[in-house]
Amino acid sequence: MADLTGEPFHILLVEDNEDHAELVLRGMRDQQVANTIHYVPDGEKALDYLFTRGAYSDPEKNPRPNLVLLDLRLPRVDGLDVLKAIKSTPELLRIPVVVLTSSEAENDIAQSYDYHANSYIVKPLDFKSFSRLMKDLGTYWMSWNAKPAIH
Amino acid sequence: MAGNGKPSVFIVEDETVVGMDIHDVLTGFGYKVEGIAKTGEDALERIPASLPDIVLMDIHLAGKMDGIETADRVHTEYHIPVIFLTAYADDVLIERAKRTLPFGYIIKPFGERELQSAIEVAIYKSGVEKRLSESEEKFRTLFDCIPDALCYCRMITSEDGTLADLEVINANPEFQVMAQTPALTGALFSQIPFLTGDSSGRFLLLCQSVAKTGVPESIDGLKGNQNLWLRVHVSSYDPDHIVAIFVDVTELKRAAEALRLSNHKLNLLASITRHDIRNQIQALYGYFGILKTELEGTPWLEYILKGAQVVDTIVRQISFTKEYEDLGRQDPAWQSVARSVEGAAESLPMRVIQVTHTTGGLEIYADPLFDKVFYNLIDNALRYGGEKMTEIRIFCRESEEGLVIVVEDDGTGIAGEDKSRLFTKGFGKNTGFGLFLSREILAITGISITENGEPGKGARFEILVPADGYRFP
Repeated sequence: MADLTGEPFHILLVEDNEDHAELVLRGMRDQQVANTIHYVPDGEKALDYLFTRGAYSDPEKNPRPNLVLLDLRLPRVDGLDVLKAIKSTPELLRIPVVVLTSSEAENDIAQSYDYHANSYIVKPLDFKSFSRLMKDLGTYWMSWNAKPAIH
Repeated sequence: MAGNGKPSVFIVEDETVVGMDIHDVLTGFGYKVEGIAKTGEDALERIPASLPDIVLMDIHLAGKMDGIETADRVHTEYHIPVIFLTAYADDVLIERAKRTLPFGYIIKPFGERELQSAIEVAIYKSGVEKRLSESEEKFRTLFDCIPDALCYCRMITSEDGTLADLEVINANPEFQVMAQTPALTGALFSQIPFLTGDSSGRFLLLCQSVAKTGVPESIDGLKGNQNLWLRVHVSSYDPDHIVAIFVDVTELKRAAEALRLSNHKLNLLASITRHDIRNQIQALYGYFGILKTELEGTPWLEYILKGAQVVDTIVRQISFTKEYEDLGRQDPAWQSVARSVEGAAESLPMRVIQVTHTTGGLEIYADPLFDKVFYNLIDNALRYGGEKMTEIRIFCRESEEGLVIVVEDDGTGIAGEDKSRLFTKGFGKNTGFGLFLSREILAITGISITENGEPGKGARFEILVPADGYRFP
């Protein structure tokens, strides 16, 4: 269960709550697959990163991610708008986007899938489930899931 | 009757001899003669001062006014009944005299008895008429002063038996204001710009049903002109007529809408706050989790576990506010007690405890959150009933005040000192809101709840449902 290509796996984490980001970073650190997490705190920076512009214009330091973990309620540009932008841009649309949020609202779930989210996950409250989720997420997306060729 | 109870009479007669003759006859019968005038002008001058019970009036008088003209003024200005006395009786004269609504018409020469009976009948009739007009005035005032729009209508039925239209027989001033039409008597409802849209049809259907059953009914949400919201009450006293009272509920409706909106905003605010707190708690759980792993085996672990417990309580309280945010938001409805109890028992960890209910098809008129009441009562029994509890029984009995639903268990019961605070906010070891909110939910439809179990023998809650708040369909 390792990335057969041996290439590092890049994850873009879009999360406005620093504590949550911290916990995700910690959860991903203990994965079996070597991975690098690029963290941005709002929707605008997420788009800057994805389109390699502004502070993120160096493609060496800010490579195109293999996975996006996206919160929905974000400052500046909302999570759903980030999702829309990714899925309507030919070079980005194959990147798997996992919505990782605390919202259980039916409307959020429906809209996320309408905009072609690849998965929708409600963050569990207790730490045990959360740790388990981080492990499962890593295993699934980094090992089991076949990586698409990214342009 | 003026003065001593004897009827008083005023005579208008231009022939002195005849006048005196009548005067003697009347005095003989015991009547009091207030005076004799020879002309209409003289009579009109003197009658107001004496106000007799009746006036005897010759038609041919000495002055410019004749008896008919004088009688007309006596009757309309002073409401005193008039009997005509005349030697002439041609049709034209009788026709003119009739229009002044005389109380009698006697042709000269006349007999004494004839005169007496004519006076007695006239006085009696005028008394009845007076009472009738007083009563008419009383009810007219009532009709005119009612601040709601009221109309009395005749039903116009089409050939197939359905109600086609209504003809207004009487409409009070408020109705005329609401309909923006001054004279409505005889108007057809379909021609009055009063109800708009499908409200006209709904109103006619209601009238038809009320006329058929004879049972008064009301409907809400009718739309009137000037953007009014109306509630109408319809009653019917015979199959052809209805009385409709329209009440302007526009302000009420606006207030209700404003209340709904502010409720919505409050809930939205609460939900945002809840969401934010939840996010913070999630992080807190994360850090506690990390610490738990790192501090395993050290004395500090105990404090971490205690801290985590505090967070657990906060989480329970927060999710509690979510469950109850709908309290009072939806209208009450009929709810099955059996279904409520079964639903609660299914979602709670019952272990070996039996829940028995013998309420049959009983339904209660209550807030849609009614289910929570049984959930809380059973949950409470499970939490505090103790080891020896085996059973929770739910049954009901009818009493003078209404229906009593009893929820009792055979657990440890509720200690005497706790009973008074049982339903207050914040009491209890779990969230402290369960019983408090149960009482609030029930109170919305006038249902009360008390606890009267014997400490040590089990808890016993009694829910008193008012007589019109339950049914066995």
